[in-house]
Amino acid sequence: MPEDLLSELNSDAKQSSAHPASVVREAYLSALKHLPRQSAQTEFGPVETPDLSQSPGRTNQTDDPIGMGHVWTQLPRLSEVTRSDPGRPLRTRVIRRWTGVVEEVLDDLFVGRLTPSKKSAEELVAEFTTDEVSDDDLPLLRPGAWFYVNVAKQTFADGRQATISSLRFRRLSRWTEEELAIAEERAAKVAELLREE
Amino acid sequence: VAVPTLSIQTASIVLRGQFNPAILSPGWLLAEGLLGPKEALDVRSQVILNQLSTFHTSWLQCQVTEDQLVASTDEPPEFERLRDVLVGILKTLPHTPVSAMGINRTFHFQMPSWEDWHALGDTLAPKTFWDEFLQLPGTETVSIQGNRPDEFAGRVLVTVQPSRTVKTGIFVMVNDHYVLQKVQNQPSTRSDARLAEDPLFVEPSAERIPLVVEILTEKWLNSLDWAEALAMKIATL
Repeated sequence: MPEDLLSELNSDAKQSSAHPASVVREAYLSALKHLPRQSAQTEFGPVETPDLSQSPGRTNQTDDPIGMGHVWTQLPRLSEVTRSDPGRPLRTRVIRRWTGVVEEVLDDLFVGRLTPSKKSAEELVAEFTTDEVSDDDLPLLRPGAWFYVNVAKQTFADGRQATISSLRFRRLSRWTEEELAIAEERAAKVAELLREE
Repeated sequence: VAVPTLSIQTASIVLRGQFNPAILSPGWLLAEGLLGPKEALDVRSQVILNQLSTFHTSWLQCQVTEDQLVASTDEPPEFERLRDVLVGILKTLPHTPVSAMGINRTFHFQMPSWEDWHALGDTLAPKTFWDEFLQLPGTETVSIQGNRPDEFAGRVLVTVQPSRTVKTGIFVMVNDHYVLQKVQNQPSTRSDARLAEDPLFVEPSAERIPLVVEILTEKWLNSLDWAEALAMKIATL
């Protein structure tokens, strides 16, 4: 949601203490009507001929008519607030990524088998220290857990560059009864095959 | 030689269907184990109403109305977790009717100079014809649509515009749009494409959820990478 829209909502809500919830709701729905229709249209669905005079997203980026012209349709920027944080990189680009499975958990480290996203690359087995795992993800650390490893290049506003790696555990929804039944059936078949060998 | 710089990129998943916005909140995602405690509490903005839910955590932005769910991130290392959140939502709410899905990528490239910026606009939309009728014609938007290359109905739409965020920048959006039904054959000629009955939307149904899961499981990374490669090609035309 555009930050100015949120500000407007907050402002409207503060101005009325009688029924803040209904005021916020009314203000939001009212403001929603004024959102640029084109942002939703271009993102998902047929393109319609826009009415440029009614395009709230239009900005006068330059006064010169040019090879590339004015802008009236783009998605709302994400993270407008957080991007103003000087400690946050201006841009982050992932250069390598793997999907991992935890094979063994020891005292302060764990062993993971990593499959690269590019099929041409080889699988790896790597050790990670548990302090590389976020507090949020620590409860997920157990044999069999899936995780993502990304290596990314970051660029900061002052020109500094850094290469970082991130390790995040997958959060999958709970297993359904049907999925559990399928898994148990497969496990039974594998067990049978192993017994035959 | 100076080259365009990729300044900002986002990935989003747009689902069309019938949703109950009031359910979807950071607290619900936490309760279902789809977000961690710290990230679920790190909410930058949040409005939860019956008709609309919108919130923004440290990396995830969600906007849900009664007929559309959009989940986005501008953190490339979180692209895969974005997919996981969407799959988790649908597996947790298996009776949600869905009809279509877009895997969307946006890119802002900073061009090395204004000359390069103009040249790209002129390459995409030559001005020879327009010079006769308009004073200093400029490119506002170029959109090119293509058929899907796989077994799904839908299309791929690529849009290029000047960036309103990045100076001397261009904006590229790739909309990998899936109608949640499979087709026997894709048109192989333009006349086939013209005659093909390929609705952009179909009746929402919970029976289409396995198709969403299949697409997000098997095509997600390829779609992201393909869109990025295409955007890079456009920026370096």
